[in-house]
Amino acid sequence: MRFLFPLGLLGLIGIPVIILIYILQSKYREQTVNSNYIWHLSDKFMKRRNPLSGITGLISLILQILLVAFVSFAISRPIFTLPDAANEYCFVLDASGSMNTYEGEKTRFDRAKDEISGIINSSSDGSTFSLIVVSDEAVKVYEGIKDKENANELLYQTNPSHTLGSEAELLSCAQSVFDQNPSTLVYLATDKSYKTHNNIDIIDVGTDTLENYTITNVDYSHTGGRLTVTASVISHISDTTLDVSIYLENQKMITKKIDVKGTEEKQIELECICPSLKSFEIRIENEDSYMLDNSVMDYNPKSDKTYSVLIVSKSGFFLEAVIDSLVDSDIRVVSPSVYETIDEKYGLYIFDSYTPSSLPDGAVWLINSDKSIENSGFGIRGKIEIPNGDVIEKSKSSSSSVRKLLEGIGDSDIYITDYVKYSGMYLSFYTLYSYNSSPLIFAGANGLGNRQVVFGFDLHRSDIALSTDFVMLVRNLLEYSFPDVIDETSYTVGDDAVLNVVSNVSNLKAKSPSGKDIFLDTSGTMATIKLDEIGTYEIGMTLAGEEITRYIYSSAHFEESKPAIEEEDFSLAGERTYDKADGEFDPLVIIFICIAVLFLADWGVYCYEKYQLR
Amino acid sequence: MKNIVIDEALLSEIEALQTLLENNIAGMFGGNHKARTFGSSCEFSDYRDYQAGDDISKIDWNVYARFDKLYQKLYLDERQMHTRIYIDASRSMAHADEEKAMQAVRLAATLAYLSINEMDKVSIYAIHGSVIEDVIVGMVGKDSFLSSINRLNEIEFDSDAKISEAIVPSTVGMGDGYSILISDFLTDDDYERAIDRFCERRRDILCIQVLSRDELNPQLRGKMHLFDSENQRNFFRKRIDKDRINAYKTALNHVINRIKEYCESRGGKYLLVPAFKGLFDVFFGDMTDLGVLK
Repeated sequence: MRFLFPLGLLGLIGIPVIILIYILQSKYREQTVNSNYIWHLSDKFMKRRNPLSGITGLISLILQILLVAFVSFAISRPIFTLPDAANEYCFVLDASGSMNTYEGEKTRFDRAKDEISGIINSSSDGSTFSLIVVSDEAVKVYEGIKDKENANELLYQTNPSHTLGSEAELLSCAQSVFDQNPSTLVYLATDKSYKTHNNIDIIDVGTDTLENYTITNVDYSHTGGRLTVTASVISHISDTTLDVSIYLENQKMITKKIDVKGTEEKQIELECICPSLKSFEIRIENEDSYMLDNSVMDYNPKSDKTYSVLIVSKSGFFLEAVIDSLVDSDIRVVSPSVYETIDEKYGLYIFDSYTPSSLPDGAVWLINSDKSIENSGFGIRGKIEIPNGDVIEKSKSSSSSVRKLLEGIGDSDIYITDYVKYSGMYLSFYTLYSYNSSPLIFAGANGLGNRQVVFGFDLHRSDIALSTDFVMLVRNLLEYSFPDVIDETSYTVGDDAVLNVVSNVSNLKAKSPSGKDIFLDTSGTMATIKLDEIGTYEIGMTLAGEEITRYIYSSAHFEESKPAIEEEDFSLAGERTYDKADGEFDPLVIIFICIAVLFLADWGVYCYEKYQLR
Repeated sequence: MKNIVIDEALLSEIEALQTLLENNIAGMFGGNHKARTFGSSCEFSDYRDYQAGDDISKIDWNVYARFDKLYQKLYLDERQMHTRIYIDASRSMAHADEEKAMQAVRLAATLAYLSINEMDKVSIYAIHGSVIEDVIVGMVGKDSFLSSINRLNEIEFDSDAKISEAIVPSTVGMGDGYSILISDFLTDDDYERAIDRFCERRRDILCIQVLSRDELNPQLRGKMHLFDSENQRNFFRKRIDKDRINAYKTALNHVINRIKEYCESRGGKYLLVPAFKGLFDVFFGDMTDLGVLK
């Protein structure tokens, strides 16, 4: 036995105090009466006393001593140790997306928490509890705590994720716990069923009869003012007819009835009028047990994008033609003399065989620039003639940035007759083409932090403009020069969404579907958001001084939509032992009951002595 | 006695009581008192042989004609009664708030007034130790009552009382009325001898036992050391609990029955009067039920 608050035993000092008071109080009280005659005579009529009646006068004292003793014990909180009465429990709680499925009034996750709470409450005092919540990653919520109330409180604070569950992670966590102590009672609370399991108890909270419908593989095309959406729908249990609708700006545009056979995936195509596409939602209207996989939204990332280009060239018409054919852009071509007078801002400045005195604030293409410019990130060593012309060399770098900039470009030869040899380049520049190890086409952020592309030769003195690869190169360089914060808007929950931290963007922030603000690390060129909820994420930013909001959608994972998953085996390796820990018994409730009984008894004795004979 | 018992208020109360008694009851002790001797009233009682010198006007000539012998007619004599009231003046009657003493004095005054009203003579005595002390002797008539009844206030309840030793040697009268003994009778003294003395002297006997509230229903509990008011060396040191109280009540009943049965066995009457009981209740209730008042 141990005491949580041993100082409470000081209350036992009250016992000798009570005895002292009793002794002082138990003196005979003197009183003069008219006559003692009848009192003396009463001796003759006294019945023979019960032997126990001798302690009658001590009952109140005994009760009061017991009362003080029990109160002292209650304050000092005695805890009794019960040998080999407690267990070590470890609960591995599956928090994958399918645990959000409703089974009646509660989700599977809620049912799992109830089951675990029941085990905690029915366990012996002194048992220890650990809880690991596993979705696509494992989180140890608590480990080795004994307080049942605390264990339950923390248990009920956990929430399921929407991501794809990792059985490997589940097994790894459970095995790790079991390895540490083979006597641990390991429970796995999941909606998956296992044919066999060893060294672990499965709390199965799933049923395989719940209807669920899923929409997936959504794709769309928007041409000629019409939106065509293709998708796959599936009814996981039974044959049924699904109502599938398309919403534009939260307005239902079309509904189509689709007959589907149970467990069979069916391709569908819906079409509606859509003059300009910002976003759409395709939704199964039928209700089921897991509504999160019934709709998918998508956003057009280019709907708000604008391209403004200033070409400073004496003959920039073919550049203008190429760019205009690639993007819906606002292009202006000016001669070098006019450029000095222009005050307007542009997203991209192209200097063709002209070197400005300083770099503008924006993306820059420097073509055949033969003078050094401050903050350009490179120096000029001089112009070199190639009398017979020669082929330049395409970069073979495996860098993802280089690959992206060279995406779609073939291996056709590009000839040049002269070039500018550069030196002292920033290490962060990506070389796309080179000649004799001298970079000819390279890209990177300049000293002003703007994206910059450099062509080290005159386009007019090369056959590059005649090549089909030139169009692809210009497309890639335009995308590079007009980076959008969001390149992709459709994700699956659990993915990492990538945001471009472009130079002219600030105040980049994100908000999850549940309204949770997400911190973004914008120190690099890209920021990532872990998409752990299903729904639309709002991405707020200040782009070129303008507050704008973009959206990305995180859809449910198809694997988590299946109502019932049966696995073969979930077994923990090792030999189970049956060692038990010492249990604890906290008699506080019993002590309080004793205190109440003693108090009532003492009160009863007092009343009996004081009023019984009246 | 510390308290003044006989005052205007009590006398008014007694007067009112008397008025009510006159309207509802024939009278004190049965109305007109017939002596147990023969006298000269008009009510015939018996015959006796004529003797020389007898009043020849009381010879019954009709009987002489029938039996040829002279017989004298006898008539009941109507005499004045002498009510003697004895008050136990021991300390036990006056301890604490003098409740019992005051009730005893009130009862004595009221009984005296009722007797006076019947044209009887009244004497009131206080028993101090073994001595009878005269308080009022031979009081006749209301004027005498009013002038002398205040002496009851002067009775000192300050000794013990040996009822038999006091009464037996005293003059108690002979067949001429009531002897009323007012006491708590909480004593081992053989008061029976006093009752026997009254009986011998053909006195009508009325014993009134006055007990206080605490004596009738004691409230004492716990460990008690009780001293007797008459003798501090006489103490009772016991724990008083339920069993003790039950024994006390049995003992009290035993004492009451003892005096009551002895009185009744001697042709007397016994009355228990709680010290806190009002005079109207005593006289209209208890006294009437007992037959003292008819």
